[in-house]
Amino acid sequence: MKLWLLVLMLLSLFFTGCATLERVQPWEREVLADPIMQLEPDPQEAALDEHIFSTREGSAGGYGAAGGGCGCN
Amino acid sequence: MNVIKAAITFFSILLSPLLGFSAEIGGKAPSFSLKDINGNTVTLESLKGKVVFLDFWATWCGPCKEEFPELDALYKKYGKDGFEVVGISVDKTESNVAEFLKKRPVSFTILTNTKGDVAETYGLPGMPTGFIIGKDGVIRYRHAGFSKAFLPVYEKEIVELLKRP
Repeated sequence: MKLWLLVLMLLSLFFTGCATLERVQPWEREVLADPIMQLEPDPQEAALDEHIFSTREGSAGGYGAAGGGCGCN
Repeated sequence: MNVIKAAITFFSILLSPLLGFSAEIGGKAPSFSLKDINGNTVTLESLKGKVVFLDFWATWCGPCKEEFPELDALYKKYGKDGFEVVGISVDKTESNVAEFLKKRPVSFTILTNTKGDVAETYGLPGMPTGFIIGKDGVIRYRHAGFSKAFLPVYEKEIVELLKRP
């Protein structure tokens, strides 16, 4: 019985992780909505960087065709 | 047996946050009492008898900014027929709202909910969220997010609710 209690206590302790169901709510995303919090704050610039990177590296990139190396397409 | 009872109680308490108590379509709109940017208190009860578009927005939310002039246009068009737009800002600082409204003035009522408790009561699925409340104070429609394609839908729903007694 004591073992059962111990298991229950351990399980309870384990499930306390579920108690922190504190998903950031939509109305609480003020800080997260800041452009500085984005992995790519400027999607256009990121696309351009990616294009240059994949063109220069040839086989690297992996986000699409690398082109012939001229960086023109 | 006592252990089982205790375990059931414990897990019930543990999992209780999973239960949501959001505002439902077809249910009475939860009442609130909030201040506008001039410090005047506005309650939902004071708007009874009007069709209300309750818009939860924030200055940091892109689609909300897009929706603003459209809501203003709707308010200007149907305001005389008993239509009211109430924008509830969920910004943490009121000065942000005042600053925002200086740049983008609107003619409808703007309230602030810095604590976010009203937003929580309404259980917003996203930002912005608009609740269209009928003259009887019942939530008739809910719209999450914003797209220009929503506008004819908004208008149709508002007109339909304005016709209802």
